[in-house]
This record gives sequence, structure tokens and C-alpha cells, in this order.
Amino acid sequence: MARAVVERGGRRIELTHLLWFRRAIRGRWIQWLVAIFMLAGFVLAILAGLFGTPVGSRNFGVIFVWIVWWAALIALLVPVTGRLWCSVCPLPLPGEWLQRRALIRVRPGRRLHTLGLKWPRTLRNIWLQNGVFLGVALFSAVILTHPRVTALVMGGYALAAILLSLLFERRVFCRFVCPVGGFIGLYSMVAPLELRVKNPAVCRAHKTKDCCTGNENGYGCPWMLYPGKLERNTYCGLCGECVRTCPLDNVAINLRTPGADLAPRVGERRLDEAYKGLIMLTSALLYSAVFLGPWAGVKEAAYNVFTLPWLGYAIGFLVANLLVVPGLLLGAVALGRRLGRTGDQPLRQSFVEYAYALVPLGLAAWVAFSLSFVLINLSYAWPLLSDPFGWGWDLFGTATMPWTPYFSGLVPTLQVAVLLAGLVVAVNVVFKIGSTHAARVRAALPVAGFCSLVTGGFLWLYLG
Amino acid sequence: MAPNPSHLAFVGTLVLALALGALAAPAGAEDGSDRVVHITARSFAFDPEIVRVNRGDRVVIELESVDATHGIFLDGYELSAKAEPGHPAQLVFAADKTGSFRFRCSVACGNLHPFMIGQLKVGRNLPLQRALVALAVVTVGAVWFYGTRSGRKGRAPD
Amino acid sequence: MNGERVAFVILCLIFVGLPAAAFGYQHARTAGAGVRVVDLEARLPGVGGWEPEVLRLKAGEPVRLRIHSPDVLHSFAIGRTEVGPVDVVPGQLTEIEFSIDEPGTYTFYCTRWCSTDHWRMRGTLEVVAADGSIPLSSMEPAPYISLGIELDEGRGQPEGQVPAPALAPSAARGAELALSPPPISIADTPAGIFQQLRVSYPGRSDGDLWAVVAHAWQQKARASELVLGENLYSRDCAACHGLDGRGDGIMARDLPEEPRDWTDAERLMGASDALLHGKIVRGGMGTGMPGWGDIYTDAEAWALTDFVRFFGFRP
Repeated sequence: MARAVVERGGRRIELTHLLWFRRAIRGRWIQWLVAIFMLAGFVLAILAGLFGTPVGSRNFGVIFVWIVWWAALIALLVPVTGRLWCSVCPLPLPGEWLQRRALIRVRPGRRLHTLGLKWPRTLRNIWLQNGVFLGVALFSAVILTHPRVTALVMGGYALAAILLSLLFERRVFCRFVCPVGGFIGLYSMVAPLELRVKNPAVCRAHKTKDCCTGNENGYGCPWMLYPGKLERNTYCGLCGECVRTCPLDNVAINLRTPGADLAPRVGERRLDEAYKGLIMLTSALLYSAVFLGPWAGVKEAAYNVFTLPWLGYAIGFLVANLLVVPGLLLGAVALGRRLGRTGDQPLRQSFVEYAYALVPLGLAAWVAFSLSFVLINLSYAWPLLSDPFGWGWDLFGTATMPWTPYFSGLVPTLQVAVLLAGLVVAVNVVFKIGSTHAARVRAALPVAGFCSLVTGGFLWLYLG
Repeated sequence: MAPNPSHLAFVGTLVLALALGALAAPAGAEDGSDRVVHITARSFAFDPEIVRVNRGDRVVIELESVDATHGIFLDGYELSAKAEPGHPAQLVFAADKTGSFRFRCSVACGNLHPFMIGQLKVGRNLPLQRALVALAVVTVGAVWFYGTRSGRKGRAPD
Repeated sequence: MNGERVAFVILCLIFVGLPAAAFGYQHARTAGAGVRVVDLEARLPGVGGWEPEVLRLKAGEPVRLRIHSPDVLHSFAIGRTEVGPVDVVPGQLTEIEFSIDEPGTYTFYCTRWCSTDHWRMRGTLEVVAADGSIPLSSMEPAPYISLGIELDEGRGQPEGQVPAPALAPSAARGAELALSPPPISIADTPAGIFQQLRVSYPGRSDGDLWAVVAHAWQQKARASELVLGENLYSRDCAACHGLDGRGDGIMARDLPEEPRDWTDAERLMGASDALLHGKIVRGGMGTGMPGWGDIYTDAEAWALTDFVRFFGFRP
């Protein structure tokens, strides 16, 4: 552990040092109101999905969930603020309110109203999130285009969050089940924003651990973390409770070097996370081919769920995600070990470590993928502000604004820039990993080549 | 051991030379001819899915819908037209930009409508070639930069 | 008021106020419209077509239709009236307000080709008289019936051995010749008139006589009617019959019988106006040709007849 703390160096700007910022975080209202605003949007999306027009491009639910929110999340919020979305996400709010029997106030000394079951040890990882993500992905052509299905999936998530909060402790849903949370967590390692303790020694010496138990200023960490040992962003939802509860003012929110969490041996390295990185990268690749490519047959196979062509698509999707791309990476890692003549650690461990280089690569790929469908389809959003249900309203006079793709000629250039930037960071991470345990730097070359190859694949899909 | 710097310099120069070759504008405009391209549209596909023309061609895309009203919007060229069955629509333009351009349905036609996409490929795909050269340059550059850096760092403790 | 209460009020606004506002606003828009509001769903004919398929109004009662399409572009119009057509863009509510004074049974239909079954997309509008009755259609029977023309027999073969014109005859050329053709009735065929002319002007070439026939038909048709006929043809017929009348339209591929090639003079010249008109208003039983009698006004049906006739003639 000491070593990790030492390696936590690098430049940081403490935002909580600013008085107004600290006040904004410590007071509960700003965060609460933003979350409530999101909740209103969520309720509207569900209502529109259930009762509005079944035409996706004219339904608030589909457009504001899959275009506006998704793009804002993956292309802006995650790269810049990491998990900040989780602190204002409406999904866990009802469950949390039921647990606390409080909407905003803090009631110190009260136990949470929940059966308080412990989440099973075998599920204390993100494999479930990987599975749920893949499961949802197989049906994405339907979910993305049908308002009713979108509403049912969103409503299902909300119900699951409530149910789990009644049965289990704290935010079990967010931490171990939410398929979105899984990749936000992974990609938040890239973000230049973090929550960390200022001095871990202060935490070690502190006996009451208010950040875990809660006090009159706030609740114990809903994410079941001990901030004193926080080394990376992955599972911290930035809810700010520890900033509020810490009696020693030892918790800070910092601006830092982007991607600092990806430096080797910062925190643990795990196979479930490695696979999350592989799954996200592969699905970005497949989505780009299926949804943005010119091959109508593939789209129809993906759309006609539970038919034979769909079965083929589903099997292909899973095999590519779970076997092919991981297999290629494994091959590259094995080749690197041979080139670098390093055998000092198990192959599996090398595989897991190198997979973290796919985090910046995958994030760039998702940004690139989102850029194209967002700039092309954002104009669907304007009429929906006036007529969210497709009921013939015109609240703000925007109801008849036509579909207009924005910057359609510029999209490929932007995609190239984003992808290449992602590759540079990925190569950087690859060599950092390589230098930790290989005597020869060339051990890292095959993985760098793998990253370059994947980037080339994306370039071909977008520009070819 | 770090990768041999002179080796890398050689590869880098080679890649750079290739890059310059590819990035240069094509010598002279390709001879343009008149091209009439017939595309049929149905929910949710264009046929053919991929259309190739030469740079400089005067292109007429004739869009014929076979089921319901569809449209076409051509990325990059930002042209659009609508076609109802029995009433083919035409897009007339000079193919003066090279590369691959998506065209998509511009009239709502059902659930998969936003994904009803085809591709127009104009001449040599310079944007892709440039991007791939940039990829090679960035890869070599990043490998050289980070490789030598971590090589030095890696050796330091020994 | 403490924070928790404020939070609770805000929460109620979202979970109760937001849905209530949305549904309430929609209800108020409907109730406050001042006219009867009727919702009409426009689906592809293969998955339901119009829903409901039968609408019932009181004569003279203003009504607002709110039409919604869940799939592709449709359009709404009421046959033999001035109502419509209006486009029904998917997912966008289309509102149209009208009233119909004349009691009776009307056909409402889609004017945008939306599938090969597009022409099946028709519904019934019943306009009820003040006494509660729905009078049967007062339409007079089409002339082909009183003339005893059998629409499905012979399929419009030329009468006798008449040499069909090689090229479409030019009406302008016929005008120059200044011959006087016999008066034309709707039962006459161009081939019949040609034969009569042959008897009257034995010295003239066949080409000249056909030109005179073309001129005679042009005299009958008014230019404005030809424009109206062309618009109707383009909207309703071209998808199967082809924009230039060759019977090679994109929708013809799925028909049980291929549409007639009207540029084939031998066939068109043997058909009387009453026969063409009859085929349009009755439809071709079993051929996939829909009947338009419930949709076109008399003027429209005759305008279309004249327009089709000119696939065989040049102006």
C-alpha cells in the first residue's frame, strides 16, 4: 500500500480548497436539485416512452435517453468528470430515500431501512455488470428504436435499484449491477477529476471513521468504500458524503493529470475490469459496423430478435466480445513476453495488466462512435422540447424544426483526431505497464501494435 | 534495452516519406464523366448499399422507392431529396470531394430509419489513406517517444 | 418550512405534478378544442390500415381529426370532397378540421404510396342526416353500365381490321388538315372514328386520318382537365402504370396481372372513353387495379380518362 501512495504523485489542484466549491459540495441542495432535475427528465422519458408516439425519432424517451443523455455522458461527462454523473443519477434516488427515510436531511445514528443483506462474495466484482451490459447489447437495435422498450428497460433498472436497496446494504445496485456504472467506472480512470484523501496517515490515525459510519453532516459512504484507501476513481460515485462527514477535513476533490489511475500498480488489477475494457472496445467496434455501416442485412439480423439470423448475430457478438478480441490481446501479450524474455509473472496477470491500456482506447472509440450519430441526429431533439409525446403540442415553437445533420462533412476528421489521441494515451499506458516488469521494452511492442491495429479498424469503419 | 534509436529513425523517415506521398493531392483531376446511379430504397436498405464513382464525375443519383416514401441525405455534400414510389428523385452533383460518404434516409420510415445507411465512395479514398498514414506516424512516434522514455526509466534502477 | 418538506413538495411535483400536467394539458387541448375531436391511426395496410376503419359524423358538424402514423409517410383525404389530402408524417400529429353537409357514405383514403397494398388503405366515413339516416349513395351509375359495355371482355381489342398508327398521331397535324370528323360520343373508339373517316375521305393517307382522330379527341378535352388528369395520374396511377404509361411502374412487379402498356396503340385505339372511364371507376376485377369511383368526382374521373387517352396521341 505504501508504494501506491508514493506513486500517487503528480500535480494536483485541490478544488475543495476553494471556499465556494467546498460549500457547494457540503451543502446538499445543489447536488440534490441537479439530481431532481434529472429525475424529472427520467420521469418524462418513461411517460413519453409508455404513452407517447411509438415513432422513436419523435419520442422524448428515445431521443433524450439514447442521443442527448448518452452523448453527454460518454463524450463529455465521463472523459472530463469521470463518475460525476453517478452523483446526480436519478435511478438510485428512490431506493436511497427509502433506505434513509429522508429526502435530503441527515438523521445521525439511525440505521438504514433495509434488510441489510451482504452482497454475495462471488458477485463482489463487475462480472454481473459485464453480463448485463452484453445482455442488453444483444437487444440494442430494438431498445434504441422502440420508445416502449426503452421505457420498460429504464423502468426495469429503476425497479431493480429500489428492490436491491430494500434487500441489500447501501448502493449495491450502482456498485455491482448497473451496466452503465460498470463502464463509467472503468473510463473514469481517464478523467482529470478525482476524490481522494489529502493525507492517508490522518485517516489511519482517525478512530471513528465517520466517512464509513456517517455522522450529523452526512451518510456513510453509499458505495461501501473506505476513502482512506481510495487509489482510483473506479468505484467512487463522487456523491460527496465523505467530504461532508470527515471531521478532519481530510477529503479533497482534485483536478489531476488525466489518466493517472492507469499508471501501473495504482490499486488492484482485476480480470473482471480487464474484460470490461475488452467488452467496451469490442462493442464499440461492432456497433460502428452494425449501426453505422452500410450493411442492411446485419442491421436486420440485429433487429429481428429471437429469429435465426439474430441468433447468429448474438452468437457472433458474444464470441467476438468474449473470445476473439480477448484472444488477440492474449496473443499479443504472449508474444511480448517472448520478445522481452520475461516470464517472471503468470501470463494471466500480464494479460490483465495490459488490458488496462484499452481503457483510453475504448473511451476514444466510444467518443468517436457517439460523435457521428449525435451530430447527425441531435436535431431530432429540438421538436421534442416542444412536443415530448408526439401529441401535437408546440410549447416553445420548436415542434416543426426539421431534421438537420450537423457538420456531416467534419465528423470523420473529428473521429480521426479522437481515435489517434486515444491511441497515444494507450501506447503511453502500454509502455508504463511494460516498464514495470520487463527488462526489455520491446515486450510492450505487440500490445502497442494491437492497439494500433484496433485503431486502424475503427478508421476503416468510419472512413473506409 | 530500448529500441535502437537509429533503427527507429530509419522507420520514421520511411513512414514520413510514405506519408508525404500519400498526403499530396492527386496529380491532376481524374477525367470526369457522366454517371447515372440508380439506387432503390426500401425499409430499411438502399440497393446497392455501396456506390462507387470517380472523382470529378458529374453524378446523377436516381433514387427510387419501392415501398413507402424514403429520402436521401448525402453526408459531406449535404444534399438531400425525397422519393415516393412511382416518383423517382434525383440528386445531381459534381463528385469533387474524394473519400467515403454515408448517405442516409431522410424521411421517417419506421423503427430502423435512423440506421438506413449506404455509402458513396468517390475516387481514391484519400481521407482514409491520410488517416492510416497518420495512424502509422502516431504509432511509431508514440512507440518511439514512450518506448525510449520508459526504456531509460526501466534501466535506471538496475 | 424545513428542507425536508421543501424536498417533499418538489418530489410530489415531479411524480404527481408532471404526469398530471402532461395528461391534463392534453385533455384540456382536446376538451377545449370547441369541436368534436376524433383520433385516427394511419398504419400500413398490412398491419391494420386505418384505425378506426369507419368514422361517423353528423351532417354539417365540424370535426377535428387528429391523425397519427406509427410507421411511414401516409396522407389523408376524403373521396368526392374537398377535404385533404394532408400528409401524415410519422410520429407527428396531423390535425385537420372539416365538416360535410351532404349526408351519405364517403371513402377516406391514403394518397401517399406506402406499400404495395397502399390502395387498400381506405376507410368509410358515414355522414348521418338530421333524422338519423344515412342515405345510400346518390351517385349515378357509370355510363359503361347503361351503354352495356363489358369491361372485362375483349380487353379493348380494335374493332375489325384497323391498321394501328405506327407513331402516336399528332393532334396539331390533324388541326392543320382541317377535315371534319364525325361527332364523338363517349361510346366511340378512335378506331371506329378512323374507319368512318376512311369512308368519308378515301384519298387520305392513314397517317393523316389518325392525326384527324387525335385532333378530334383534343377538341373534346380541355387543357385544364388534362392538367388535373395528369396530377391525379401522377399521384395515384404512376406507381404501377409508370410515369409514361408503359405499365412498368415500380409497384407493378407484385401485381397479379401486368398493367396495360398504353403506348401500345392497337389496344388504346380500340377502347372507348366510356370503357376507359369504366375501368377507372370500377377497377379491374382481380388484376390488382383498384376502383376509383368512390374517390374521384365525375370531373376528376373524366379528366383522368382524357389524360390516359393522350398516351396514344401527341398534342
